[in-house]
Amino acid sequence: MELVAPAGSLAALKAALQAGADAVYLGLKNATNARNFAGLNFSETDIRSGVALARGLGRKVLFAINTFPQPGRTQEWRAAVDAAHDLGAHAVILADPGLLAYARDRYPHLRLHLSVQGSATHLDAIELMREQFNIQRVVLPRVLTLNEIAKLARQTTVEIEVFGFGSLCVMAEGRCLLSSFATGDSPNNKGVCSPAHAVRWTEQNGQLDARLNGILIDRYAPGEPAAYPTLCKGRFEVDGEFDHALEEPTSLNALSLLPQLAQMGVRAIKIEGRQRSPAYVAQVVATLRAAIDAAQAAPARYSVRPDWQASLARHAEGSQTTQGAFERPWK
Amino acid sequence: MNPVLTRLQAPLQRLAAHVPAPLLSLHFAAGLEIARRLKWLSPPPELDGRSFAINLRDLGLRHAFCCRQGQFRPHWPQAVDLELSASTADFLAMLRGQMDADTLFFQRRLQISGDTELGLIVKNWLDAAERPAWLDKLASCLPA
Repeated sequence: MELVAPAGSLAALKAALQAGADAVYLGLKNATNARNFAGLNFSETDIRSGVALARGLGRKVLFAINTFPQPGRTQEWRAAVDAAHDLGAHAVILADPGLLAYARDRYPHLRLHLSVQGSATHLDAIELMREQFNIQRVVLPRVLTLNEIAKLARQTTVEIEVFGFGSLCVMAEGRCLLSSFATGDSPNNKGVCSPAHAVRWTEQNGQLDARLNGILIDRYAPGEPAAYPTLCKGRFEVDGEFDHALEEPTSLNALSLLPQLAQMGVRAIKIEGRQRSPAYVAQVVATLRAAIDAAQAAPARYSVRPDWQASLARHAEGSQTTQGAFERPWK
Repeated sequence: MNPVLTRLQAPLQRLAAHVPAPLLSLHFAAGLEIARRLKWLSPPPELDGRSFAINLRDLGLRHAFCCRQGQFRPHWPQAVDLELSASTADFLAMLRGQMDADTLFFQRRLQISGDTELGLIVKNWLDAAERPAWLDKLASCLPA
């Protein structure tokens, strides 16, 4: 299984490669990727250095161009595909069918990965994308159980990539407009859930208020773990009850499932977090590298080491982790 | 806390209580400016004309500075565009590139107030910066 690491900067890319990532995914400094954050992402000069470094080590660089072209601005997204090809991408991670068609026609030898934002959760969707655009890998949305992933892996020739660690959201990937109700921006059109210019944190006597475009979306008690300021993770009063109306802030952790994922033919494990620092990348990649190596060397004897769990738990959003949909008992 | 910092905590707290804020600001901005001239720090253009405060909570020291025409300068007014608060050890860990700012934030060890977008620019600028080798050597001389 390949380990696919996030990189929001050249320093993070180097940290990922040094810690043992097989591939690194990155984005340009614009709205063509779903982490369009101020000051984040790569210049073309940095990408050239990163690609040269990765190729020298026999590793891969994947370009995330996983937002949806906006009306009248298609050329920006096409230019991103052109740049990825020209800069030596091993693959592009795309979500929009129009952009997939452009990449297929223009660069027939460029590997196409269907982004998690493409939201392909069943065989028909994956096969349609393979038939139409010759996708070679699909990144599965984080809504599927292990049994469903195993079934898909048996039924399709498209490589399967799943998330192994990172912040979770409501998983309406590629279709989420929730944040746009507060800010006008959404992941699909601007590449960002909660644009930083709309976020305000106010702390008084240890109580921390999170506001999004002036709307109070959460209030943390003194010492209570905090989360990203997104509407989906906010706490609201609904039917007289004050709680997380949609979901609790948490991070996915699939450490204990690695042998099963490998056995069912999953080809790659992805780490979320291009917005995180090189320190996060280094520590999370090193942990998953050790775990994947152990799971592949002796799957029957594999067990999750406490220090691996502690390392991942330390970086978890809301300071808690879950196996998410992988093991939904009610499904 | 690092034993060296523990020993320094009480004297530095006394210092903070007696030294006027502008004097602290002057020294801190001078340090940043030296680092810039030695090319250890190269502020992005988005920082120009903006003011900042670094608040070392455990030591009670607050350093305000601003960035003007690409240079670091002391900042006298209390109000700033962005204020970051954390313990000295956590700031040092971030400076050495050994701690993720989001992780600290989730754990409520890093506090941000003011312009969040500016905070993100600062965070991503520091994350992207290559650390000089001497920084790690210096850190390794300090007891854990």
